[in-house]
Amino acid sequence: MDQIISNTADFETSEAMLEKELAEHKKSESKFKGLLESAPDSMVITNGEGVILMVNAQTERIFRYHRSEMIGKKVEILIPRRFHDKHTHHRHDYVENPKVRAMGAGMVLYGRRSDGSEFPVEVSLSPLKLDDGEFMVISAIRDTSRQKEIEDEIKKINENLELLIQERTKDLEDALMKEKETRLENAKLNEELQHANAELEQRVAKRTLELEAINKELEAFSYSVSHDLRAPLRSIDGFSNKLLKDYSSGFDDQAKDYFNRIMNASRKMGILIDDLLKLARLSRVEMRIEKVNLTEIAWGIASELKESNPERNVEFQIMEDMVATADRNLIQIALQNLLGNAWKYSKNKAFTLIEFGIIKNAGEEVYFIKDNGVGFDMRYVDKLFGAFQRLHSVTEFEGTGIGLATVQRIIRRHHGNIWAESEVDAGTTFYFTIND
Amino acid sequence: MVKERIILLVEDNPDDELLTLLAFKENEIGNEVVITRDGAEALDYLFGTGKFQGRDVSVLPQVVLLDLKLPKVDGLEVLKQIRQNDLTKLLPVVVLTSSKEETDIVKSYESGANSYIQKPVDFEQFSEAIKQLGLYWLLLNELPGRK
Repeated sequence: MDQIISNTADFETSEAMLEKELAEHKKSESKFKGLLESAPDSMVITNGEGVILMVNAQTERIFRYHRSEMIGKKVEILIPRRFHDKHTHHRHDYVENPKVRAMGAGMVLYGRRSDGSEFPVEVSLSPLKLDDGEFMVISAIRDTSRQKEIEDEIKKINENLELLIQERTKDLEDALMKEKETRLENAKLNEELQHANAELEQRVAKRTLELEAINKELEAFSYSVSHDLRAPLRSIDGFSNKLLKDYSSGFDDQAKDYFNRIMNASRKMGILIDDLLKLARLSRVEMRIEKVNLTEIAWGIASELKESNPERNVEFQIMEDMVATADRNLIQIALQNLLGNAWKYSKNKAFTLIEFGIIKNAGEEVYFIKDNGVGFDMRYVDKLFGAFQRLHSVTEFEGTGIGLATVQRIIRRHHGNIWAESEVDAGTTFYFTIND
Repeated sequence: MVKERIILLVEDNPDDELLTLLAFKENEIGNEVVITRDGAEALDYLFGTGKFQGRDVSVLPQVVLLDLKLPKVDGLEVLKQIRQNDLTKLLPVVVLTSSKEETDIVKSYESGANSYIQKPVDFEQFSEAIKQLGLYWLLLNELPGRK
């Protein structure tokens, strides 16, 4: 009886102990499950044959299975089919030689979702041997698709960066190249410029030489004309004169008339030569620019003209204080010609009025010399300033036709202009400007 | 005394030479006229060289009528040599030429010409010029050291 009581007591004791043990076991299991659930990675616990025993909530989330769909299945349901054979093989090897390690280090592993889609994962394995000898494997699986995305993005950014760098490098190289080319081109241009300059200088020098030669030739020509062209005229005139004088009785009136014509012609040619030389000299003579009182010069010429022909009824109206910046000698010659013309071409008028003054034309001072003489037909105005051109016959008005050519040359040498307006029998007005 | 007053005419143009002589004649200028036809000959006459070797160089002309454009030695050079030589430096020289070019006139006076006359084309004027010239240089003008 005691034994029974004792046994019963033992039994009760052991039962209590067992209950206590059971309670403790339950407590540790719930603790383990809690830990498992709260793990940040997907946790898959398999047995030695690869059958899934436990999964946590993360596993459900990333593989999109309910845990009831996974537990009891081979772990391969979480792996793309193409890796199945290999994986089964690796799994057997691992059971033989279990170690804590990362799976597939250095290569990308893939998980398979319930819908068959794949995603990159990182897996680490831990072997677990229970007291009863049961072998289990705990796999911690991390979805690395976001990481991979970031990596891909970084890679892409890197690639872009690389591309950008390459582009910029190329731009820079291009720019350098261009600069080098520009520098080369500049050097070439510079050389060309220097070459052109040298050539220009050479041409200027050549032209100067040519001009000097022409000038010399012109001078030689003038000299020759001056010395040699007049000599034959002297002979013609002189010996005609002597014939007429010393052999007068041998010639009748007609013969004498012929001799007179010969002499007239030779004298006229003498005057022509003189005028021609004067005209040529105008272009060569050096100008001395100064303030010149045109009013005074004009009055001087006017009184000379009056003295030359005192019986003529001529009135001069000359504006006061006309001062020009010009060469005194040249402007004197020009005014002598213009006033002389006004005088000459109004000789048939009972009363002659000759005016000399200034009008303003578009802000510019324009000198004018106006007469009330015979005038000329404006149709021939373009012949007016030509050397040896005449608009009147010599019998009407004497002259060689060099006067206005001379005036024009003088005005041009003063960078001015000269033109005329005229009406037959009403008179002529000459206009000119002086720009020195 | 009139015979002493020689005129030296330096003229290469025979027509001008004749016309000048005719003008002298018209104006009754009877002085001896020595004619040389280029500058070298004129200098030979004055300095007793060349074809005038041995000439009494102390006998100087009363006036030299000098053309500018001459063969061999031109008028200006003749003038310069006349002025450089003590014997002839005071000799009156009248440039009688065709040209009226300003440079000819200026250079002539610079070289020591006493007068410059352009030969007119008109013989009447030429003759008148010769008359005036003769009157002035042969009659009116006094020279040093000649009595």
